[in-house]
Amino acid sequence: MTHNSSKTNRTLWMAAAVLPLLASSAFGQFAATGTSTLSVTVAAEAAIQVNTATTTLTNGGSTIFGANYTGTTSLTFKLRSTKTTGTASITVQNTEFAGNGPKIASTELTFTCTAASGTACAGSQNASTSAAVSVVTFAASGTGSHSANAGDAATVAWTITDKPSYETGTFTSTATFTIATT
Amino acid sequence: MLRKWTSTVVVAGAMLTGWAAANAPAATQTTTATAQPTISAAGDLSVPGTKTLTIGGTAFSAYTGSITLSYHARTSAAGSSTITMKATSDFTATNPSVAAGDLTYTCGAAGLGTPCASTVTASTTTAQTVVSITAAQCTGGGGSCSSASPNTMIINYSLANLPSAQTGTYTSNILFTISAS
Repeated sequence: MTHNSSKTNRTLWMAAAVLPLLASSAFGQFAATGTSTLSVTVAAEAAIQVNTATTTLTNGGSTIFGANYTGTTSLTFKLRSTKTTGTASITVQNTEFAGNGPKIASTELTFTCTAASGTACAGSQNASTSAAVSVVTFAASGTGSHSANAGDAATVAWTITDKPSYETGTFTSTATFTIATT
Repeated sequence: MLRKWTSTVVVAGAMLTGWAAANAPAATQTTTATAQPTISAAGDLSVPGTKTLTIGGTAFSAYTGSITLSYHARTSAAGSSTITMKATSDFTATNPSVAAGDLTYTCGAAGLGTPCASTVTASTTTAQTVVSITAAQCTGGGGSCSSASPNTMIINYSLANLPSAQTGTYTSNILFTISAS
C-alpha cells in the first residue's frame, strides 16, 4: 500500500513538472526583454537597364559618302560580384538587319564603349549576330566589384560605314545587352 | 462495585474515542479569511530567436521578413505600457547597416495597444516604441481585457539591398523591451 501510494505520488509530481514545459513550448519564452536576430545573406547580383529604347543612327544629313551613320545607346547597370573570386561582364549581341542594307555579318556595324566602372571594351568592336561581344568586364577583387548604389552609366556608340551598295530605307537590328556576375 | 463501573466507563470511553477517529464524519466548521492580493502592472514578451531576411523576385529588391511579437501586458488605472525595439548590433559598419538607415519596419495590427505608424527607420541608438498600451488594459480573459492571450503583432522588416554591400552573411540583434506601470 505504501509502495503504491509512493508510485502514484511520483507520477503526479512528474506531470506537474512537464506541464509548465509544454506551456512554455507552446508560447515561447516570455520575459521582460527578448532578442531576435535578423540574418541576411548578401549574394552576387546584377541588373541592367537600357535607357535608349530605340537608337537612331544618323549621318548628319550628308548626301555624300564617307559620313558614317552613328548613334549612342545609353545603359545603366547595378552590380555586385562575389568577394575575392567573383567576376562580371556586360555583353551585347545583335540581330541581323533585314533587306539589302548594312550587314552585321559583314562587320559593317561596329561600336565603342564607355563605362563608369569596370573596364570598357577597348577600341572598335565588331557587332555580332552569333556571339555575345564584350562591352564591360569586371575582374575579381578582394572586396568584389560593385557599381554605385544608384547604378553606373555605360554607353555603346554604334557606327555603320556608309556604302553606296546599301539600298535606301530603314533597317533595324535588335541589340540584346546581358549583364552577368559570379 | 464502584470500581467495576468505573472500569467499564473507562473502557467504553476508549472505544468511543477510537471509533470517532476512524469512522465518524468530520465535523463541519465554517470560518472566513480575506484574500487580498495586490495585482500590479506587468508585462512580458517573446520573439523568435532568428529571422532570415530574403530577397524579392528582382535584382536588388529589398531583403524582407516578418516576425511575430507575442506579449502579455497589464496596466494600472493610471498607467501605461510600451514595447520598444532597438538594434544592439549592426549588420556591418557600412552596408547593409542599421545605423546607415538601411533597415526599416512597419507594424501590423496589435492585439492589444496601438502599433507603430507608417514606416519607421530602425535605430542602433534609440529604443523605438512599437506598441503603446494605455491605462487599465490587460491581456486575455475577455471583458475589459483582450480575449486573446498572448497578444501578438507582426513586424515587417525591409533591408535595403545596395550594390555597395559586400557579399556575405550578416546579422543584427534586435532587442525588444516591455515596460508597464
